[in-house]
Amino acid sequence: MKHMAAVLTERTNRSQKMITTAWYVGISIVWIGAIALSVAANNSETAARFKLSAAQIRLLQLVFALPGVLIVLAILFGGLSIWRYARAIGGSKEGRGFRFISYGVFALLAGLIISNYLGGLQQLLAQHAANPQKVKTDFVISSNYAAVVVSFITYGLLLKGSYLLLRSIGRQLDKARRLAPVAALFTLLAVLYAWLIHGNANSRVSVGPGLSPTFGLSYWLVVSTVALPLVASWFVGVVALMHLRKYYTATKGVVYRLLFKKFVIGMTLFIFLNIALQLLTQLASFYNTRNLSGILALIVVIYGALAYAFILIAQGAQKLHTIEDILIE
Amino acid sequence: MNDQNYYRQVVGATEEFLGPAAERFINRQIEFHLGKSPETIKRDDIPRLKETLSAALGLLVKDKAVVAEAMHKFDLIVKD
Repeated sequence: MKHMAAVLTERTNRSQKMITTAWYVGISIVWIGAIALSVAANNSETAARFKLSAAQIRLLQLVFALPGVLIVLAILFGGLSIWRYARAIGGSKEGRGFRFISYGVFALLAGLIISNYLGGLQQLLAQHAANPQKVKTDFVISSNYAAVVVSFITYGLLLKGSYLLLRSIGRQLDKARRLAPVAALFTLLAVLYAWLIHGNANSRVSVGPGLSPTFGLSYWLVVSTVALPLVASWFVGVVALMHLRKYYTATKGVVYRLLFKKFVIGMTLFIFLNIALQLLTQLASFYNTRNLSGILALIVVIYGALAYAFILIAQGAQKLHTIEDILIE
Repeated sequence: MNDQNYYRQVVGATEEFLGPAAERFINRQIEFHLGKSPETIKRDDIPRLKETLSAALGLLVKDKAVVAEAMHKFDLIVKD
């Protein structure tokens, strides 16, 4: 018998490559637009708070802009890799699951861009408004509700995707036994979060000139419409991860599981880091008047780790895609 | 054993390695190399499918024991 060799077929044609490039360029331009809005705004209050000149603040914004673009591109890379794999296995049982997971990643990306635009717009509009504090408070309220909605959409899509994956192998989560301890843990987290909000002097109204309040709403309104829904969305994210890990352990195929491993590690990192990031971002605004550098440094490190998580997710999806591309000659 | 059973056995053996991707992989190889519809394969077709799986696994994993185990599964189907 003639010796056979495994080769990989060309995954994308020229037009698909052009569409992918257009996505990367388009998202980079949109992201740079958000950075430009922040740089264009008058940063004198921020500069005074951190004892820096306005020029130094602008320089800092530009220095952070490049890693920001790279993080956004890493998320897009992860999302597109899953989406392409889902498309390659289109008619299969697990194809729909991967498709929903990719939508979840795209929702996260959209949320990140929207929140950056809102931040830049807030600064720009406040400096031209008759009542800047009101503009800032209105934007804070809108941003917080947008964060809750995006969080629910992101984790909801991941849950739908991971549920479909698990169902594709005829399995489901043992809900009562598995979810009860996680639900108890998140109830504790909700209580802790409500307690932190209660102790936050900057919660409803700003405690210093140039500062934005963290929430701009009354305590009970914040707890019932922002904090609890946000914690509930994190719970949905962790349940999605539990479905995904069960799919990983229960699915057949020694080699498939080996190739799927990076995807699961990446998704685990992504969900936990994103929850940590959302929590820390809230905490950072609690401590507006104190030394922020520790929390800000941690946020930067988490963003870096989040980019790494998406590279792992993309590598995992691409490895699974390899099975579909193999042609034996 | 009828042809349908050979197809199911080949997919079953491949599933132990390629999991949910197994049926798609086997269908592609049957259509490309044997030029027939998947469920019509016969016992004589199995050695060729065994070779394709061996080459594919060799590309996906470095562990030769995995490839050897897969080949053994296919040998058992032919012997049955």
